[in-house]
Amino acid sequence: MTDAKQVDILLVEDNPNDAELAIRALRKNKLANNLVHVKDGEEALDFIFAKGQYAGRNINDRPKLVLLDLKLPKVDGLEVLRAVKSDPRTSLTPIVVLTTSKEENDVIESYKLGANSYIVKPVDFDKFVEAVRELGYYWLLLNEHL
Amino acid sequence: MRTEPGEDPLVRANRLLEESQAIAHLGGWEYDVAENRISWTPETFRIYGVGPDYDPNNLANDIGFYSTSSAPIIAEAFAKALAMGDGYDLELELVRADGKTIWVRTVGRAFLVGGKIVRVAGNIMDIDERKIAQLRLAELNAGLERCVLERTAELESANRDLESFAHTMTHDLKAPLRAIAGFSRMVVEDYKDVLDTEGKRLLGIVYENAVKLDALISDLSCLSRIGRQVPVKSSIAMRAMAKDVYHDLAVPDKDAMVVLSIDDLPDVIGDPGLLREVWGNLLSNALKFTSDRSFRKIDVYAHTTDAERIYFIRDNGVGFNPKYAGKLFGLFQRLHREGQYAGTGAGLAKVKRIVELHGGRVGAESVEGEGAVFYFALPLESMTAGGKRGG
Repeated sequence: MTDAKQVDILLVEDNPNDAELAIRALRKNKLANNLVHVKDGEEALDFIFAKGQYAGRNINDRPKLVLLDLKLPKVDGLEVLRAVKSDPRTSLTPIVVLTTSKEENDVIESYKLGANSYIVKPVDFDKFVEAVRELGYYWLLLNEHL
Repeated sequence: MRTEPGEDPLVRANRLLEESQAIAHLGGWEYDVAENRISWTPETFRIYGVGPDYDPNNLANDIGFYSTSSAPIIAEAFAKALAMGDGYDLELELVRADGKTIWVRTVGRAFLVGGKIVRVAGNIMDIDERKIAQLRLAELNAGLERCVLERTAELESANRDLESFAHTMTHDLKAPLRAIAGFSRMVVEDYKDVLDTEGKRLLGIVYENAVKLDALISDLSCLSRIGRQVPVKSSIAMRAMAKDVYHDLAVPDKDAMVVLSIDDLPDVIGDPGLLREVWGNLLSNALKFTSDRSFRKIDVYAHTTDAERIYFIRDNGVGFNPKYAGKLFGLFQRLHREGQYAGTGAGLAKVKRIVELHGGRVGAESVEGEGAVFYFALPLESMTAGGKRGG
């Protein structure tokens, strides 16, 4: 998948079940064609900044959208967010945060760090599909013009 | 009191003085500058624990009775009184002749004649019992303060544990729930041709229960958040808020026939976000529990007393058995059978917690089958305070 030149969505999610649900929700909305799934914050940074195992990538081939879980092993989601949003080479990459509850301080903290939006991962799968559809379309379409 | 017939008035006065000094454990002394002589009253000898043969006429000896820490203090105070006429009043440790250390209060004063210090005189008082008690009290107080600090720290730590528990609950319990709900839904979607109706129904139950548990967890974490919140208060137009909340809740087709009346309600000072929740829960209950009536009526009105403003929400719904009124506001207490009315049973617990956070109280009355009145009362004093509390 990493060979694909244009990556539409970078999914950063360590929980394999959550990842499968997210990919399914994206697929249902026909948004999963060019998707890369990374499993921790370190790998996410490697991908976005084209280093480590992704050193062959061009840093300017920005994903059109990053779906970022906040609770991640090694480097957590907020740190990824901070790193991406504070570097001029990557700061325009839209990041949508995946969170368990909208009441968490994480959401406020994410916005402070420059997150573009957030999706609450609902238990109700249909709601999740709906949320992914709205945000996915919005950001992917918007990004066409960037 | 002893009376000696024919006693000389001067002798008598002297006897009285000695007796009262003995009773009060108060000794007298003086230093006569011109004569360079120190005199003590008998009680002073007793306080020092020395016999009448002791000669107080050696100042260094006299001061030597004080403890090592007290001696320099009394020496300096006495020297100052003698040189500059300064008085003193000190509480010091005296080591009696028998070796026992006691607390004494020693007071000195200089007497001047023609601008010259002619004598320094004062009292010495045995205050050991009082001082010991005082010191013990101070010690106890310090201990008590330490204890309070320790308990506060313990409570704070317990509170942090609870917070992290609530956080864990929402985070870590919800991930498996998402999997249960999501994957059971996947099975139904991906194997719809293989599954028969019963199979789909069973998986539907798995899904529904996961969603229900999700709601319970959300309610719990919401309640714990309310408990930790400091209300941010401002003036609230209660009638407008109640109306607004009602119109958000009422479903156009379903609730169009509800006869709603909202009286003029007095404004309050409170946290708008939280009080909105109160109205939301009480009004949605009124809608819910009148839903199977052919004629549905909801009245909102208020009553002001000297101490509080009470807001009432009355409906003509199914009501409840007053026997269970005490249970109504408990967490996850439902007075209706599962499936009869929707809800987790956290709504009224939330209402109670929010109102109590505002220093108020809640209550409900009902005649089963004839409707119910729920009310919440907010104290007037919390309104006059105005503005924000805490931060």
